[in-house]
Amino acid sequence: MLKIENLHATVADREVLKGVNLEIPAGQVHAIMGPNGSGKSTLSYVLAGRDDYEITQGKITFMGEDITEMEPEDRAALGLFLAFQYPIEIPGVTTTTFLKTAINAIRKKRGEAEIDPAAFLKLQKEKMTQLNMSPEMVKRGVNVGFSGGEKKRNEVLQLAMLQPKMAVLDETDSGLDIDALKIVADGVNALRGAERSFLVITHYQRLLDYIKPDVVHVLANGRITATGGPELALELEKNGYAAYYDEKAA
Amino acid sequence: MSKATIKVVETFMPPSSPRVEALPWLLRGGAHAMPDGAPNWARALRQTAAESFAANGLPQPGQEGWQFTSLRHLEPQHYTQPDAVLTGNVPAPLLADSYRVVIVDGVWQSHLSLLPTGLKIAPILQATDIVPHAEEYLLGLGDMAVNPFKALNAAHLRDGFVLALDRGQTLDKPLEVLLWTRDGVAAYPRILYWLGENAEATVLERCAGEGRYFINAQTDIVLQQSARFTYHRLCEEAEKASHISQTTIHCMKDAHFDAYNGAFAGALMRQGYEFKLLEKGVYSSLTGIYLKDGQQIQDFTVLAGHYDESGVSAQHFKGVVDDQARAVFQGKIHVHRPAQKTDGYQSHHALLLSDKAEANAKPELEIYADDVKCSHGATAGQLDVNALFYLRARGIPEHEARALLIRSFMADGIDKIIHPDIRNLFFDRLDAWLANRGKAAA
Ligand SMILES: Nc1ncnc2c1ncn2[C@@H]1O[C@H](COP(=O)(O)OP(=O)(O)O)[C@@H](O)[C@H]1O
Ligand SMILES: [Mg+2]
Repeated sequence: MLKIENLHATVADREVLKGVNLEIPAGQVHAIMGPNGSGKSTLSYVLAGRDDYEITQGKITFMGEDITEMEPEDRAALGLFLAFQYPIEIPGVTTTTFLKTAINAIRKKRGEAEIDPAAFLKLQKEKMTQLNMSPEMVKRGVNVGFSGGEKKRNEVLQLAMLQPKMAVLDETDSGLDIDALKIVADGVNALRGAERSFLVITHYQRLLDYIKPDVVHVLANGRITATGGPELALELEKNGYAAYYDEKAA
Repeated sequence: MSKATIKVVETFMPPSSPRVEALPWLLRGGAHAMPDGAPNWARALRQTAAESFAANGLPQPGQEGWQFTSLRHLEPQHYTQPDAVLTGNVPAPLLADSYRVVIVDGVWQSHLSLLPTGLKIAPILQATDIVPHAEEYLLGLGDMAVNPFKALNAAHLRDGFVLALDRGQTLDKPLEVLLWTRDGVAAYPRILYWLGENAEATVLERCAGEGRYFINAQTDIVLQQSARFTYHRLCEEAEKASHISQTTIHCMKDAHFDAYNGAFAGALMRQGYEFKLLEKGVYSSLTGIYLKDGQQIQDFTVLAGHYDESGVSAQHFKGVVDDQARAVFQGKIHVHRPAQKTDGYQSHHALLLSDKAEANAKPELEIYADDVKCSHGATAGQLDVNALFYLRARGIPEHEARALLIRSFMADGIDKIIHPDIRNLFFDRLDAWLANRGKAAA
């Protein structure tokens, strides 16, 4: 579903990704773990198409299309979703308006009809109940006045509403207490299926107790330095990242 | 009024050394003569004002208070002052349930009024018939040399109306005032809203027109003790229009004044507001909202004058500047010595959508009392790239994402408008502007 080949990217004239290779087949959940500053968020932004992150080498293929140069909105229409590590506040635009605009924009691009407003509201209500969100939250400006945890929940709500083919979750667990973490994980797990893949970026193993990955990668210094099963995450939790820094020199 | 079709042109004798550029304004087409029986105060004001304007002319480039606003667009030969006999239609009211007053080319069309019985309204020259000593407010224009447009308006004094609410009187519906100006016209309306003690009113003024015209309006609002006035101005002037207006708000003890000024289109708009918090406990606010593109100029020049204790004045401006348009905010809070416990705040936030768009802010504080809270805030910025990316990453195309963010920037100002229909009118103007911008981008 997603294939990243020899991806190099620079931010503010500094090379942050230094040759990332990664392939995620349909239906799988991959986790990326890594120390702070290793380039995890940069990878997520580059996947989503942020234009101040420059790809200097390599290629990203998604759903059989080369999306390396594609606009962010076109990637979203193709079914790529990024849950932001730091969701943005947008005063004056309610989450409801935001989501409806997004859904209809994607539908339009796919040549589909607009969503029926009543069906939209019903779906939104259903998903919010699952995520234990108060109905009033979607009537406020997007993320305005939300706590860190509420912002993350709002990201998962958007994920559930947009139903992408591939979701990249960038530290969706950070800032969540254990109850909120379970709710968010349940929300994500409910979306797992043979046709949908996930790339779960996290700093801590804890999240992976709730969202069980098929494959775990370590990103250190702009490269994937190790790949393994769920046991790799446990080992990292125990021994830290130090061993994987060394490999970058190799 | 339309029935008074006056052909006589008053000849004005300029003083010995008139500023040459002043003369076409005063002589071209001729100012309408005063009707017979015009009161002496009006004749005197007109004479003084004409002399002041002839001596000072239009503001010169670089003149204090006019550094940022070019009057290039304003050429006297474009305009005449017609007889204002109304032919043809004026736009229908915007509000479904409202009272109505119509001004065309600066002239009050009394036959088009829709007002509750018993409401006092009169042509401006008969102001003293319904408001004793109204001339005190009409004459008090301050230093006309500093603002020659006050002089220019007063030099043409004849048209406009005075509306007075008696003590305790409440207008049960909003009053919609249309100021409609036609192609080629220079209009000089003079308006006085006078609210007696505890009186209450909501007004929506809509300034609009067609073609290239010049409207130079002078408005005075007098609020007696505990009067409450909610004043909305929806300026949607024609693309080539020039609008230069001065509004002075005279507030007595515990008066409450809220204003919302929307400025959409218009080639040149200079809107001056002077707040006079003359007695204790006045609350006054003004929210200015504007959307400018092309080479339009929007200038808000505001003076908040605190003369007595415990007055609040809050003026907030928010606008979007695109293309080569320019926004100017000149705000001054002047706290006189007796005005302890003053609370004064002014802000201006401009969103610049192009490299050539400009915003100039000139905040000033002049404070002679020691126990006051006064501050200014001014910013000019661009759309937040992080927010833009967030929206696009959700599938919203770039131009739509920009429109949402512009709306988001403007919304909190418009949201302050309490009257739902009027608030919606402002949002409609914003949405129309955004839609139009989207079309241009597509
Ligand atoms: N917008 C930016 N401007 C400058 N440097 C950046 C920017 N974004 C990321 N970086 C730098 O790139 C490196 C990787 O950051 P990031 O991808 O956020 O790491 P992680 O998410 O793994 O903690 C860091 O050294 C960070 O300082
Ligand atoms: Mg990160």
